[in-house]
Amino acid sequence: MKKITIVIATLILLSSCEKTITVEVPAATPKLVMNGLVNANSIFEVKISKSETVLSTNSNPFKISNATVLLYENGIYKDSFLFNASKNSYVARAGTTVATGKKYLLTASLNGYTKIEAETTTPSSVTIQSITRRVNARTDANGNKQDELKIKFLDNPTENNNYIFKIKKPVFNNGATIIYDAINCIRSVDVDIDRGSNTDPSDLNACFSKEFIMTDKNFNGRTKEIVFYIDNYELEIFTNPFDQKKYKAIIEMNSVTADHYKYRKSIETYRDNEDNPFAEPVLVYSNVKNGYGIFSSFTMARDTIR
Amino acid sequence: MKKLITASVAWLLCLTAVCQKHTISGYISDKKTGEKLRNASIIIINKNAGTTSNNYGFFSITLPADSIDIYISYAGYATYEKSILLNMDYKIDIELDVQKNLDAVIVKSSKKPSIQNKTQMSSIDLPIETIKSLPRFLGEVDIIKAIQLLPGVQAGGEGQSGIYVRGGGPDQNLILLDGVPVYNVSHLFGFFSVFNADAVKNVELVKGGFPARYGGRLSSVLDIQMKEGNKNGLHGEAGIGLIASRLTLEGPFKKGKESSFMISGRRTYIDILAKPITKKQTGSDVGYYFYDLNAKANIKLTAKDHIYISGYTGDDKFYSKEKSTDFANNSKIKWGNTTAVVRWNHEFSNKLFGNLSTHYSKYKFDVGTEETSRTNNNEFFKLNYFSGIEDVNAKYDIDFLPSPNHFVKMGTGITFHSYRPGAIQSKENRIGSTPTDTLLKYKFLNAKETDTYIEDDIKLSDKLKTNIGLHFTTFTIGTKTYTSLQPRVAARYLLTKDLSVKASYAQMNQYIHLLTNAGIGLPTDLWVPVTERIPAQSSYQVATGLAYNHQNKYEISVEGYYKKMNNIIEYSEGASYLDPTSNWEDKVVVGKGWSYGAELFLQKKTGKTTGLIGYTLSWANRQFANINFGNKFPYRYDRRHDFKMALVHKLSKKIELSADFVFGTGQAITLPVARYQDDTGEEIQAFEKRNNYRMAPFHRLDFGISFNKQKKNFSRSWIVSVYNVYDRRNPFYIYLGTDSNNKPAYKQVSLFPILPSVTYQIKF
Repeated sequence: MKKITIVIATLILLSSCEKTITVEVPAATPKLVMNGLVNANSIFEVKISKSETVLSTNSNPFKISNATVLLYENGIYKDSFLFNASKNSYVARAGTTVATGKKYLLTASLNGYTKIEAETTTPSSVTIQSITRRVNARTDANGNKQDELKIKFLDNPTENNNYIFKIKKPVFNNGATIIYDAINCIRSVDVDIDRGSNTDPSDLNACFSKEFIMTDKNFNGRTKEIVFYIDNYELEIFTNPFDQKKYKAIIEMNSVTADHYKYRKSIETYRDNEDNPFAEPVLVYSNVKNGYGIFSSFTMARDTIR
Repeated sequence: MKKLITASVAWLLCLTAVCQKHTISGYISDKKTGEKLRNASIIIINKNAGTTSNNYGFFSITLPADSIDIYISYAGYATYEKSILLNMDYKIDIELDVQKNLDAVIVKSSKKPSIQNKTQMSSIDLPIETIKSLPRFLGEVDIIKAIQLLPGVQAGGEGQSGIYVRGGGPDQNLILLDGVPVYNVSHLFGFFSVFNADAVKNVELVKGGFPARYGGRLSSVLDIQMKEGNKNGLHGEAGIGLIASRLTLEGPFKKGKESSFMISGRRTYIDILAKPITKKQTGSDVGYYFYDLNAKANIKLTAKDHIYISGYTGDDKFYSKEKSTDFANNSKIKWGNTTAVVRWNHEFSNKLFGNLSTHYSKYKFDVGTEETSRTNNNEFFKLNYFSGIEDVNAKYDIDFLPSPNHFVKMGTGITFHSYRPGAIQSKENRIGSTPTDTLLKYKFLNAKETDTYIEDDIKLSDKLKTNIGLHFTTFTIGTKTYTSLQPRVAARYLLTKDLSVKASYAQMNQYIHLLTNAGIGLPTDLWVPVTERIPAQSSYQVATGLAYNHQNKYEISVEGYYKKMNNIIEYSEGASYLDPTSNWEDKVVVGKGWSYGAELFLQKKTGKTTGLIGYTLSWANRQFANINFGNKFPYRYDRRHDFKMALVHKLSKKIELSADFVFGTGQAITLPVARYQDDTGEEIQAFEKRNNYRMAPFHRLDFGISFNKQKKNFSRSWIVSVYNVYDRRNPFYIYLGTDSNNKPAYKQVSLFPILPSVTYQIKF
């Protein structure tokens, strides 16, 4: 009996070791958030919201419709922004459009919050020189036919360029209009593609999801050709059954700022791991002073895949 | 020209007859056990000359012919003193008695080798008896936990057996057991270390000012020496604790001969005690145990040749056995170390001592599950994940003592490493299908490492002493060979006879990295070599300080240090150590680290009350291109303030009290501080900065009392320990969870409340 008591006491002692308690962690002061990835030649449109503490249970804590948003171009006041409820965003009141080569400063302020600001300089546009397609150029391990696409462009030698590439195919939007949706799987062994931590470029069966990114550090000022593969069925011509119009897939080449590039990389890593409790924490990049978010302008070159 | 000839002749005469020199050499050992005593102090009082015994107790000192007073001392032992007319070479083997058995004939005072006289700085010898006197965690003496009580050494977390020295990582400690590197020093996820104190003779920690003989790690060397075995008779120690029992036996192979053995074993019995309960609760046979076994043989071949053979093996094992009508399922997680070493000491002359050794070290980690058909034994499915590292080494070391002003050590060695950084094996045999045997995601690597060193402890004047050395290494993996030349310099200057100022500079290099999680000490930690993409770690450390010896009772040191580390690795943002599908090189980033600070250390080694007090003020930072946007951030174990105290008080012959107290700034961790929407409207948790939050400070008081009684043929002790006396809930980790109302809340997990334990032990 004595021995059993000792054994039970030991087990209780060991199993009752761990204890979990709620602790106070100083709450971060809510900040304004600015999100605007603006395309050259389009009207400035940004989202201004606010952050919340992670302990907040407020169901809609982020929305702000009465912020003062001001735009400066090359250091001179240019425009103010008006909240557009249908778009849930702030749009340049005077319809100012994004110009290449210009430096923009955007500020946002609201009573009770620290004023935030972010800067961007629109990269110069880069044109696509050629796109060539070789139908059914390869067959993957599962027997799927894939088309080979080659895109050629001349990199700007005066800038450090960052690129985001997307291949889009036409799809119905709510059964009425046609929109272009990014193709989910792009394969390439190009060594300049930024694979993040996966530095093995040799696996042609691995997909880039929806887009791939690269910098010009290995081809600055030179003509660059990228070869990649898309499932053949993704590039089929889409015919609108209502008006029989035909639509083809397109390539979008975005020349983006370094801030935009860093943001893209970090948000992608964040999304890939946000549900993994064993993953190291990911800090999402922000170029907004005193706040969160991203404000950056970019240029886009687009061409049809024939 | 005439002057030159005269001087040359005088010099030649001096070398031959006129300045005739003689050498006294021999071994210093414990009178009671015959154990050799290293670092004993040999002083020739009337000649102001001295030396120390080497790792095997050997000493040698060469002096001009004269009458000399030799004085030999060792901490905790009575001093030996003798006058000798040095007109010939002398060989004397000296046995020192422990201080309580004072021999009036040979003892005059209790002068000991003093901290201020040593060239070596940033090193601490922790007597094993002190370690064994400290309060115990669940009844077990733990050498690593005792080391954690020293300034400049941080513990990984609550109850953990990892060490972080002067801002370095857990992989940057060279932990040697009888000179053999031990790769994983943890039992039970780090709550206990693999070193059984009953089998250990000496423990020395070097945190900086590394002599050239040490290499291969950036931050520390923890040198643990096993007992050689009592040469005078069969003795033993046994203990029964709360979770484990142990037994040590030692004695001569043949009485009167100078060869001996020691064997020591320990095993936990939680699995055996809990078996009936776990079986009833789970319906299966589930359990955990660890064991370790140390053995050493010490064979004196001739007066000049000695052979030591020692080994260690230990394992941890979780197991689960289940049976259904059709299948039997066995699962296990098993990890452990094996080390073995053979040494041959040879005394070439009374000034030249050689040591040839060869060792083997292995760490393995296996996780496996096996399902076997109960109706057909040939039908099975097996899945195993295994990793590990294996070393085979051979080296030769020489100690050369040409004069009292020089102690030259040199050596060279070669190590063959085999790395198995994670592999998955699947075997299947089903009726009607083809048997499979697949090995996935494996990249076994072999490497060859050589190291060569030379150092000289030079006495430049009565006040100034230096240790200058060079350590050179090569590392070949595949077709690539890396090399590294590491200069080491240390100096001490005596300001007074009790006070010295010391300074040191050491460059270190490390060809091995540890892929580890946040320091919990899981057996999944992987040792990986340098590769084309992951370069060797390197560092330099400068340190300076004062060492003071107060009336041979107190030793006080104050040291400041600055350490820069290059090419250290860290998991990249978003990487998961539990993702076996990715190549490890893709999951890590390479960066830099800095650490600097000041340490105060006070130690009392004699008297009724002994103990130590340490305080460290330090900073440790890291910087990686792809972490924290490339900005510097505090290391997880950056600890601004760290205070430690350990005291042992002999109340009477029968009762001994002990206590230790630790206080440290909280660990730096990364917590989300806000949430907001991204450009697509999806929610993000903002961390803002890496390690942006400090957990609550860590502090704890432990207490121990031992009741000792001398019986006719043995002594027995009841040892009662209380871990965490005031039940402090120290944070182990914090996560974002929900409270009892299901609202978001930060939750802190603490591990150990107040934990009393009782151990019964006997010694004969």
